[in-house]
Amino acid sequence: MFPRIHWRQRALVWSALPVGGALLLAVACAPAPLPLTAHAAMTLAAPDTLITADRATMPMTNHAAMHMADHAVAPPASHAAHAGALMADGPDPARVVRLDARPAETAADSPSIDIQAFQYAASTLTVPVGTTVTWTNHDVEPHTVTANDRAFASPGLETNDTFAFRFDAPGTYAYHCALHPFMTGQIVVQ
Amino acid sequence: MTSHLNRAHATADAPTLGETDRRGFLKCMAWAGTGLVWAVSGGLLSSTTLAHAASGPTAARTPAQAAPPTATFTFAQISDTHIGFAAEPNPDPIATLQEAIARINALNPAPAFVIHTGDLTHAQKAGAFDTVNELLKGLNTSQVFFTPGEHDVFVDDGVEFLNRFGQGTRGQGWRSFDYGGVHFVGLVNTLSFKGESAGVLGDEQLEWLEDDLAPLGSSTPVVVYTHIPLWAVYPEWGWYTEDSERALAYLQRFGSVTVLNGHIHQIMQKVEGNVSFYTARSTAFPQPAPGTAAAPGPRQDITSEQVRPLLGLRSVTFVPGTQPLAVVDSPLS
Repeated sequence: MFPRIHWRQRALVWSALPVGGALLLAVACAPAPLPLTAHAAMTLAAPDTLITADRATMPMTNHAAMHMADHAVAPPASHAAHAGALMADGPDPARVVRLDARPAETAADSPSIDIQAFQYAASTLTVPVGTTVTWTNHDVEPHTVTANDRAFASPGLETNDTFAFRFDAPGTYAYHCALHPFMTGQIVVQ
Repeated sequence: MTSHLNRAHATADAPTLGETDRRGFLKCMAWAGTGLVWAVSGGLLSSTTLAHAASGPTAARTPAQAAPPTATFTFAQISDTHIGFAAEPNPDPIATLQEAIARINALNPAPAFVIHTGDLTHAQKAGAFDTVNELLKGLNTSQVFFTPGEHDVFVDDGVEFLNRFGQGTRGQGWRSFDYGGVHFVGLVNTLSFKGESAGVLGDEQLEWLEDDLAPLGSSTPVVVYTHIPLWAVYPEWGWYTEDSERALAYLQRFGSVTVLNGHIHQIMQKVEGNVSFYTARSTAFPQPAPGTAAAPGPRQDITSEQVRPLLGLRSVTFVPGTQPLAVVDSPLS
C-alpha cells in the first residue's frame, strides 16, 4: 500500500517529537483536573477493562517496543512507588490501570494503550510523573490521540502506527480521537 | 413585472454562477411568460425579497435571494472521496473517484454544479488535497461547492481546507447561494468538536443561519448540505449533529427542505414533515449499516471486487412547482 510507508514514517517522526518537548509542553499546558461530573461521566462510559501492571497482561506490542527502541525514546527517569490509592470520588478502581513500583531500566516499561474497535483499551490510566505512554492503533480506520486542551495531539494513526507522549507534570489529561470524538480516555499523572 | 424581471435576471447573474448574457435575458423572459400562472398555482411569490436583500447582514447577497424558481435544473453530489485511503475493500479510491467523475460528466442534462459533502481526504494526508484538486478538474462543470469532513480539518482546524476550498464562505466555511430559485445552504459541522460530541454547528453558525433564512419566503425551496447527518442516524457511532435541532427549527417553516450529507458512506433517507434527509454513498468505501458491526469504518466483509455497487454518486433535479426534489443515487456499477 503505497501511502502507508510514507504515512507511518511521518507518524513516527511526529510521535518522537512530543517526547523531546514533553517537559515544556506539560509544564506550560498542565490542565486543571476535570470537574467531577465530567470525570464521572467518562468513567461510566468506560468499557469494563481491567489492565494491571503485570508484564504478562501489559498490552505492549512488539511494534510499540520496536518503536521505542528505534527512536531512542528515553524511559521515565523513575517509576516511583505508586500505591494507586484513589480518592473516594475518583474513577472506579476496577477500571483503572495501576502501575506498581517497578524498575525502569528499559523503555518497555512504559505503558501502552491499544486502540481497537474504536476504543482506547484503558479508558483511564494512572501513571507516575515522567512516564511515557504509547498508543497503538489496531483498527483499519485511522484514529488520533488528542488532548482536549491540545497539550498533545497525534497525527492520524493508521493501522499499527504508534504515538508516544511523556507526562512530566501531574494532572488529569483527558483526550479523545479527533476523528471519532466519542472515543475518549484520560491519563492521570501523579 | 419590472421588478420580477430584475430579480430573475439577477438570479442568472449570481456571483458564483454568472450568466449575464442574452441567454440569461431569454431565461428571464421565459420566466416572465410562465411565472404568473405558476405563481398563482403555487402561491409562491414573495414580495419581501427586495426589501430584505437591501438590509442587514444579508445585504451582500444578490437581490435574487428568493426569486421564484425559473427552470428545471440538476446538480450532482459526491461525498467521502477519502483520497489517501488504500486498503480493503478499495485499494484505489482515486480510480473510483475518476469513475464517479465520468458518470457525472455523462449525466443528461448536465449538472449545473457539483456539491462535495466532505472527507475529500483520508486523515488529511500530505498531498491529498492536491490529488483531489487535480482529479476534480476532470469534471465538465467548473463549479464545485465543498463542505469539510472531519478528515479534512482535524490536523490544523481547517486552515488548509479553508484556504483551498473556502473561497466565498463565511465564518468557518459556511455559505449560502441561490440558483434557479432554490436557496442552497452549506453548513460545517466538523469544526467545533467538544469532548464526546460528534457533529456540532456552533452558536456563531446557527445565528448566521437564522439571519440567512429570515428574508426568505416560506415557499422558497431550500437545500442544505453538510457532512455529518443532521438527524440522529446512530449516536453510538457519532452519526448525529449535537445542535442540529436548532437548525431544523429555523428550517421548519419552509415548504420544501432537502438535507444532503455524507459521513456514513451509505444511502439512508428520512422524511420529517417537509424536511427530507438523504445521506450519500462514498466514492471510496462503504461502512456497515448502523449496529451491524462492532464499530464503524471500512466494511471488512466485502472484497474490492464487490465494492463498486456500494459506491456511487447522486444527482438531484429540481422541477419548479413540484415539492420534493428528485434525488437519484447511482452506483458505480
